[in-house]
Amino acid sequence: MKFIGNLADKIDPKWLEEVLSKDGMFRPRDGAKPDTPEMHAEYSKALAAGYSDTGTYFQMFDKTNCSFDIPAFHTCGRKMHWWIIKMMPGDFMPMHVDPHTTYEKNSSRFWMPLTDWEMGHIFVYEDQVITNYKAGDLWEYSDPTALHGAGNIGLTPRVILQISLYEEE
Amino acid sequence: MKFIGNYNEWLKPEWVEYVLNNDGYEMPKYEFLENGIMDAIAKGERAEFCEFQKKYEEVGFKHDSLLYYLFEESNFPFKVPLPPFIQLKEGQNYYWNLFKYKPGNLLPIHSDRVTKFEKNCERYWMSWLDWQDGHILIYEDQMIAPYKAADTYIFTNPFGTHGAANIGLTPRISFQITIYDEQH
Repeated sequence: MKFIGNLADKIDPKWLEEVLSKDGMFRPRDGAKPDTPEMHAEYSKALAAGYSDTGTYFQMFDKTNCSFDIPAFHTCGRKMHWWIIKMMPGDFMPMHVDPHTTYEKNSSRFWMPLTDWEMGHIFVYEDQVITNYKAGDLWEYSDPTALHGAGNIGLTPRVILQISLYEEE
Repeated sequence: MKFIGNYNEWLKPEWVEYVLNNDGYEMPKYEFLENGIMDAIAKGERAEFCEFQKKYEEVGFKHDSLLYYLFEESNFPFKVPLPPFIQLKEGQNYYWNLFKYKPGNLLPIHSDRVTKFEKNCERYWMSWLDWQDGHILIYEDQMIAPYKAADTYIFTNPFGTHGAANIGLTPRISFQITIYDEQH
């Protein structure tokens, strides 16, 4: 993971307020079912390990269930899509590769916490954890197809803005 | 956490095999039942049982959830000798715990309350399996990884805040041994 800088001044505090004040889409229970070979592969591994595709491991927010839109960062002409993951204490996301990064052209993945790091907030990128971060710290995946996962074994909610850039074919 | 060495000659494959093929006590339910406080915990009357329990309940962890599995002498059919990194001195005693985390299991952050009542305690942690992606031990703000089966660490501070999780695809097994001065 490559630290880019802190963009706290670009964050609208209302984003976090809204995400904390309501439920998001319960995932994977209410999420899209696998519709690509890449997504099938990720789901199959998780199901074989004992994870359920009808459980709720985290909550997701995007344009469809938020009253706001995240403005484009420096995209260099690329398309951007974003989503926000909220993990309440006990939530987690098994280790995985983001399927879309494996087939999107010139893909980049960014990770920005909207909450300060607290004990028990876990983001694992390969064999590293990112800790002691502040809301607004922006990180870029060194490899957008790298294995990663997250969890919250702490006592406070954990909210992360996820951004993907890619070139349209 | 400080690495002290690898003790794979001490670790017996049949122990690992047993834990992989069996589930231990369901935690934390087992602990509450053993202490006769399941009903009280359910009613929120004995949150002080663990200094973190009240906080767990407040933030949504459920007292009757299955978080991980525990093995100890009563449900482990092998005699576990003292590992070679421990030489008990006169007046010292010890106990061990063995934990199994299936994918999706976790242990919220905590400080071990018991160790506060044990004089001069030292706590050691050993993985019984090679580290795999998603096997998480967090001590303060550090993750211990990667490691090999039988790699052993000492807690820099036995009261240090720590927690664990398995967001990987394979089971995670860890062994803890605590030594302390007996108080009379």
